[in-house]
Amino acid sequence: MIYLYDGQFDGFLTCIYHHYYDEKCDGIYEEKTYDPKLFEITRFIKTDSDKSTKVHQAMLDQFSEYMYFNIYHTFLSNIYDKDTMLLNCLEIAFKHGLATDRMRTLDAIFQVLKIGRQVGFEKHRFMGLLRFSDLGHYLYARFEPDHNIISLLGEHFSDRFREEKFIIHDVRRAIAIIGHKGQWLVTDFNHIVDDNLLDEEIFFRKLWQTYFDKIAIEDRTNLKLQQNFIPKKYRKHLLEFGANTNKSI
Amino acid sequence: MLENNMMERLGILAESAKYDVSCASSGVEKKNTGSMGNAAACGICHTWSADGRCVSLLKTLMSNDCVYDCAYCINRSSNDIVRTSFTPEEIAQITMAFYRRNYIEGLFLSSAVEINPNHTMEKILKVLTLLRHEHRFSGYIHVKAIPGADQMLIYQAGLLADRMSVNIELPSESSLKLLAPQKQSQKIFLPMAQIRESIIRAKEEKRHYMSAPSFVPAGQSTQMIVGATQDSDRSILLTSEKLYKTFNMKRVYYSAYMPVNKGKNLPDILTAPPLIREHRLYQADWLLRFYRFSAEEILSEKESNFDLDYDPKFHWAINNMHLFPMEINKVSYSDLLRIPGIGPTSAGRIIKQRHLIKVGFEDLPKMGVVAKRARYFITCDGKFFGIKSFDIASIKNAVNPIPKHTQLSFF
Repeated sequence: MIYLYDGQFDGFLTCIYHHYYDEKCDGIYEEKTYDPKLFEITRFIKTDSDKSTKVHQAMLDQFSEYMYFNIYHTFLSNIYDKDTMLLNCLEIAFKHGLATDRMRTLDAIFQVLKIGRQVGFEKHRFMGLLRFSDLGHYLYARFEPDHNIISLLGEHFSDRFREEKFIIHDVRRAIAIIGHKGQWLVTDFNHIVDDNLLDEEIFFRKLWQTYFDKIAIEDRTNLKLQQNFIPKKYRKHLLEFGANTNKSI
Repeated sequence: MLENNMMERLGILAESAKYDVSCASSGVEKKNTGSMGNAAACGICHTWSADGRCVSLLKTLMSNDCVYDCAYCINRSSNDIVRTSFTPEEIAQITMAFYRRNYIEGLFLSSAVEINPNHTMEKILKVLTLLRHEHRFSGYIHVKAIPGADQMLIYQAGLLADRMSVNIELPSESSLKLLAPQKQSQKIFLPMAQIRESIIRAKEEKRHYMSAPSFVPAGQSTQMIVGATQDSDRSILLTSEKLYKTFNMKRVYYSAYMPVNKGKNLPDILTAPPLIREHRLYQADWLLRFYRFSAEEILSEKESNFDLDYDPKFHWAINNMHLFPMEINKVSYSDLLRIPGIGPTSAGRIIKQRHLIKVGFEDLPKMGVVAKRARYFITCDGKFFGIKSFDIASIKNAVNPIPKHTQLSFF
């Protein structure tokens, strides 16, 4: 039996509830991206917030913070069978509780810890790599992360820009964080932001580029090392790596 | 407001500041208490420059117009370079503009000694006051404490900055005499001691009153130049150890000397910067701070410099082969740290798991252990996975084989 759900964390947790209290399943997939196999029987599980809350509370009660965040981060990853991996991991974790932390080398646990780390690392990366443009009334940043990390950035930036209005736009998934005076929410976002930049914005962009070029020591040039830290896929929206100075980034 | 030559001046002053190594924004976790800015304990890098160094802070000088004539420094008074400076208002403005756009994590402000130490420190303090009180900036600020400046000025700055640093530059009194005769090591240690005292006092006061002001919460750091003088690696490392112990330094940075000037007491202008040596010093520095090694263990009296082919920990292990192999299911945490290929994280994971299940050799990569390095020094549940002959030469060769054929040089 394969459970399908709507892609939300609540939906996934409802599947886990059904796995324990209804019928055991062998895999969980998001309905939109599920790739049907010949002999697999599927069932769509409707999201039920009562059921998901119960599972969520059980996770908070029984798991360490470390385990909980790795599970949640893995859920946000872009890996096709992450939900099935999580199912395998949760079965062990609900059995052993806090002792799961000591079982790193079990494959089911290790996979989740590994992917969770990757997602956490990408979040950390974008805390530094996001670039905002001052569009007059608000700050705007565009990015294309591999994993669905946008919700992990909200708290950091809404605290940092407490008296600003800002938008962080995940172009690939067409969603955005709208932040205003310390509050924020994630929403669908399809607007195309216009590129009429203020003189001041262009000036500071050029100033930043000058600074970036001057701060490197020529005698120590090491482009390979630079690329280890900042792979080319992340450079598209960065001014210092050639993004267009006159357009919004 | 946006003057045209601001671009030019930032170019000059950033270029003058680039030999300062420190760019860390780590060590303090704080929420936004003003209007803009916060800080994460882990530090955040915002980009990486072409030399592969992380750019986290806006690193610039207030001025490059220096009264000192230190032989190694690009800004020495006898050099014929363009002299320029920023006003405190300009620095604050650029910092805020960059920070709002998330280009940077904060400010690292240093300065040449302009007119005299007090004048320079006053200007630095002015920037801090503007950022903290006028712009209500709550992000990370690292400033230099200028040796010779009034104690009160340094204290005032420490109340507003997150980190302060005084560069020792050269590891011994004699080197300092040779290359920077206008500076005295006593004058450099004075502000370091003052900062240490104030940090201790502020922490003590915080224990009694929640609202007591904090002083340089991310601690102090310093920097040493490697390769400008004859000082050995051993004397540099012993100096670092002393700095960590006596001044509670958070970090000591090392910078391979770039021959920017000519001078009779300096290495030739064509000397390549000793990058591998710098790398080995950082590795040894990590051994001091996180691996519970002492400087005497890393470089004993007999050796004065690092082996450039092997890292210091491996070098130590090879010289202490009588301690190995260690059984990873039995030895203590601090012994695990001594095994090449195992670090604090993986040692912690081994300890965690072995309470429950024995750790086998196949588990090691999942723990983050570099098995191809550690295998010669460990047993897993009594089994040894290294090579047949447990002798130093064959282990050395297995870890870093000497190439059989090398390209002959034409010249």
